[in-house]
Amino acid sequence: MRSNLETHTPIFALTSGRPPSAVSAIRISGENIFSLLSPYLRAKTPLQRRRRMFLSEVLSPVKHKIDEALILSFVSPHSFTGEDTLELHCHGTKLIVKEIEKLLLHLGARPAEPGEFTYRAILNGKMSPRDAEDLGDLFLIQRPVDLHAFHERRERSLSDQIDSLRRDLIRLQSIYETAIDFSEEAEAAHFVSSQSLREIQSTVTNLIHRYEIIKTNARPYKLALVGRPNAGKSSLFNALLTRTRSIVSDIPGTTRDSIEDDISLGDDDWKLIDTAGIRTTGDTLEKEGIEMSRLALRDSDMWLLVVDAKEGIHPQDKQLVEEFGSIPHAIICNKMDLTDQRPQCMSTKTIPVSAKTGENLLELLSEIRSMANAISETPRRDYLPSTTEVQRLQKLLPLLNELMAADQAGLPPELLSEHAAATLRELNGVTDPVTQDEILGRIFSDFCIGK
Amino acid sequence: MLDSSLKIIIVGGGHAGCEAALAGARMGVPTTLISLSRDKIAEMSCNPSIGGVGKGQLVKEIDALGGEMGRNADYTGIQFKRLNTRKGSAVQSSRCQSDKVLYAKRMRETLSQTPNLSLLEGEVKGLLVEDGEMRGVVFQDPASLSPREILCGAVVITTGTFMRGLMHCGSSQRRGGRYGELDSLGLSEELERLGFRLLRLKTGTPARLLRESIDFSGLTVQKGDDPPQKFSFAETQISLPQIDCYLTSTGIETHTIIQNNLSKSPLYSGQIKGIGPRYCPSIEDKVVKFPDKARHLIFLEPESLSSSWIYPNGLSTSLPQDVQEQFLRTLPGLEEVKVARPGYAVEYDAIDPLQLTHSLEARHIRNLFLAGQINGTSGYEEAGAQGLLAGINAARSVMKAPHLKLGRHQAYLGVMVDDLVTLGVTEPYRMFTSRAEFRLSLREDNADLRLSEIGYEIGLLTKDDYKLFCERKKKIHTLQTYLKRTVVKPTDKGNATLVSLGSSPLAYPQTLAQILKRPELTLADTLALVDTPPTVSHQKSIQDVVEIEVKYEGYITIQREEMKRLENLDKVGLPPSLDYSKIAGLSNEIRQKLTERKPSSLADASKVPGITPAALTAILFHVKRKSPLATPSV
Repeated sequence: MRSNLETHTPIFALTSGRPPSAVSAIRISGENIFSLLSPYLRAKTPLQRRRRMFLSEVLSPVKHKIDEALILSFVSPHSFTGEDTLELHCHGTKLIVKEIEKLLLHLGARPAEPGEFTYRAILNGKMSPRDAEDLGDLFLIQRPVDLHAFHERRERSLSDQIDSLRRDLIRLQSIYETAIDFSEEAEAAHFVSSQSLREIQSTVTNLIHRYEIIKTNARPYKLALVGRPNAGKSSLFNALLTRTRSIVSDIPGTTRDSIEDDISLGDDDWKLIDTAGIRTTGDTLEKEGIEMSRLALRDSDMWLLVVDAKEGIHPQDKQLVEEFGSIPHAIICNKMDLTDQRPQCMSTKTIPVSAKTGENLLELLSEIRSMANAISETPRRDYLPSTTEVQRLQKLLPLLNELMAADQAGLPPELLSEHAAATLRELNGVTDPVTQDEILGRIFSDFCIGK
Repeated sequence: MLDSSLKIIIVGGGHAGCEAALAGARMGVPTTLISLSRDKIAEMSCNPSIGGVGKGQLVKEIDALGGEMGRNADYTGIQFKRLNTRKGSAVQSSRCQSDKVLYAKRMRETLSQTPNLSLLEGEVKGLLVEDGEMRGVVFQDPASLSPREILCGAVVITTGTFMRGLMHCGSSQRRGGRYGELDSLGLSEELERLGFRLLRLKTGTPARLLRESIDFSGLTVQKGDDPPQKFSFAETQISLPQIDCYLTSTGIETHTIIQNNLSKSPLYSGQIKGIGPRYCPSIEDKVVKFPDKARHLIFLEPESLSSSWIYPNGLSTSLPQDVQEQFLRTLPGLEEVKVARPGYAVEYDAIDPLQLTHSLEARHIRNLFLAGQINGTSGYEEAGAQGLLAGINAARSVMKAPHLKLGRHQAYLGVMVDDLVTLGVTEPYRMFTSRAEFRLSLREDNADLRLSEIGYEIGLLTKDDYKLFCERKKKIHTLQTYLKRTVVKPTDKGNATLVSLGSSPLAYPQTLAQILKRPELTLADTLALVDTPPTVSHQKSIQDVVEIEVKYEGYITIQREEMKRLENLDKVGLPPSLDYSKIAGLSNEIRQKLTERKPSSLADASKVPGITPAALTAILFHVKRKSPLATPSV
């Protein structure tokens, strides 16, 4: 948005219900709009300068009736923009909307630039720039859990993770400062800064990563099927899709040769992913296959380990369970029609099924569904950074890398401190500025200072 | 008779008062120093040393401006030591042990020999203020019955710990600002009456020990630097014999005695209400807060060549005398120790420095200046530096010249004053290098380059000293130019030299300055790459400045950018009438703080504790809306 927008002309925009729709809402904001518009309204009660809602005829510049509309009036400063504001709820036809817009242009109003209502809200002190940024983020959010995280963030001004990031950096700097200001007095504790630097870096990376996921979140939840070749993943994949399709009818047809497909589980849309595909023998390719499965797994919200009932659980399977045990998962013991064996694996829930005969498939589905519901109902504990915060965090990474390089090169503490200070300055944009007193406070609580 | 409005009065003869009085008189303004006791002028009330990390920088700055502390320290120092020598030169600092008797004596002599300066013994009972302007003081001569008024143009108050001073030793309390001296009672009430908010602070000092009763044989010797490096940029000399200090330590037994007697410490019994400094804790504090530490280091420092008193650095305490003796005797070397004077804590009144301007003038009373411990600081150097600034500005006030203000990017003194007057204090304020965000540029070695020009312009630095400065500056410039202009081509011989120094060979021609940037090379290494010996200064003090500037260049550039950003924020003025309750997006706490402080610019606002960049943006938006100006980035 241009930042040099003039603020004298009334502005308008279609805020909801692009025609054709039942109702279209047009918002008009600006000084004098009540007196400007009132000659073109024919209400049962006269238009008054107070916050209310009333029904009125809307007339064209030549006083022909355009429509009968519900009108909401907000009197300055009690409106979104802080200016006098009207909202016209008219019938959502292209013609009516166009005619009303013509009327507004005739009255000297102009179409709002994107974000201009918010801009005026900021200028009029109705909203802080920070609130406006948040509002922007709200439009990125797709999943209920993320919405929850968003509101959590709005309520708590600082997240635990960013807060702890800040504490770690302050601690780091306090150690450099102790080495300088109290070199004689404090018997500085031995401290491996590279270790805590790595931890700080991984916190930053995780926060950014989490945000990236949300941003690209046209993405539904992902359910991955993994397992050894010939465990029957593909037949299970097809069986699950067919089953859900026969139950849920409003899913449009999809391509059959894709290894991903939409599936509806519980209240949410999920993506079912078959991680199979590589069936060639040969060590290198085998490894590659496992690596690809890992990638899919890492990104999944839930996964099913498919094992061949006859073969039992392979060491590789166990490894996967160990590695990705933190993501909700279950073991599917496929081909139960061919054997009576029921391999057990650790404490993981094991569900016997036959993709071929369809035996136990419904039970499996209901199991997955309840797992899916549990997932979408559990808000993630992760902190969801805002767009501006992520931009800052991204700037933080190269600074952290420089700090790590300086640390490894054995630079003296006053220079390491410069790097740490630059990093903290960047973080300041995310959180409250760090005052010298906090660093000193850290020093005095960690080291026995004073001769 | 001279118009009284052209005179200034300094109240208090501590380290701040001495600098203030000398500054005023040297700038040509008739100056009177009033002190409770003439014999106690320039007394070192606590440890017998000058300088230290961060403090050494202040002493050098005092010196570069034309003050006395550094010179006095050079002539009366008995052990000199550079600190942090294994770190970069930005954080290296000077410190010396002083002969405290000679230190005070030489300072008193300097005062009495300075033209325009007169000393007066007695107490200041009141301050004469008319229409918000200083007119003079009410002076009580000890020899006369009734007080009299002394009129003047400006007053500097530097009364240290003497305002409502209360000394604690065990459960016994005694009024007084320093051992064996009376407090000054009336001045606190007078300042309160004039609208100052008073703070209650606390400080402490250890027992003094008799040298003859200490067995030094098993203790670690702490030697000074050889040769010692002096403080002053002027032609001073270190002429006193140099002595050793000793190192001992407390042990479990010491800590047990202290733990068992905590209830007798006025600090822990609740008798002391004032807030002490966290960086200079009493031994009681150290034992309580760091129970895991088996020992604490204690430095034994001789107080004077002519006295047998030893200062045990690290043992500040307010425990009763018998307990002090008991725990002292558990330290190696002190088994038979005799205490010359017990340690004690002192509570005193300070004013809230938020009520001062950057020239150390009271915001609400023109020509009234305050400096030193009364402003909530601790330390001789902090006091001296403030005294100097307050003295300069008192003199400039009566000369009708604009006040001298130093920025955070110019001097530690600027950082300290800015911290005091914009943030206030919650504990006695001590200088640390970490308080100076531009410390890579604020070094001891370039204090003169930063400040001597100013010192000369305001008429404080003498012509001779200024001439010395100009010569030094020229040598530095010549060497810098030489390094920037001299190009070295890759040769077998030169590359062999580089490799032998652990560096990499030159691939293409580079200037000496570029080569010096390599962390592994020193200036001497770099100069050795040139065949014909350059006609530049070989003085270490010159080479050091030049070398460090080259080495730090990248970092200093970043700091300069940060300075510029601050200056931009400085340009966004905030009117005192600004209604912060009208600005959306500010927390109530921030609103309240801003309303109280009335920052004069966005830069000032950015220093208010707890303010966020988002809050600054909100203020900027608000102000911008009122007056559409160019927007600096926040």
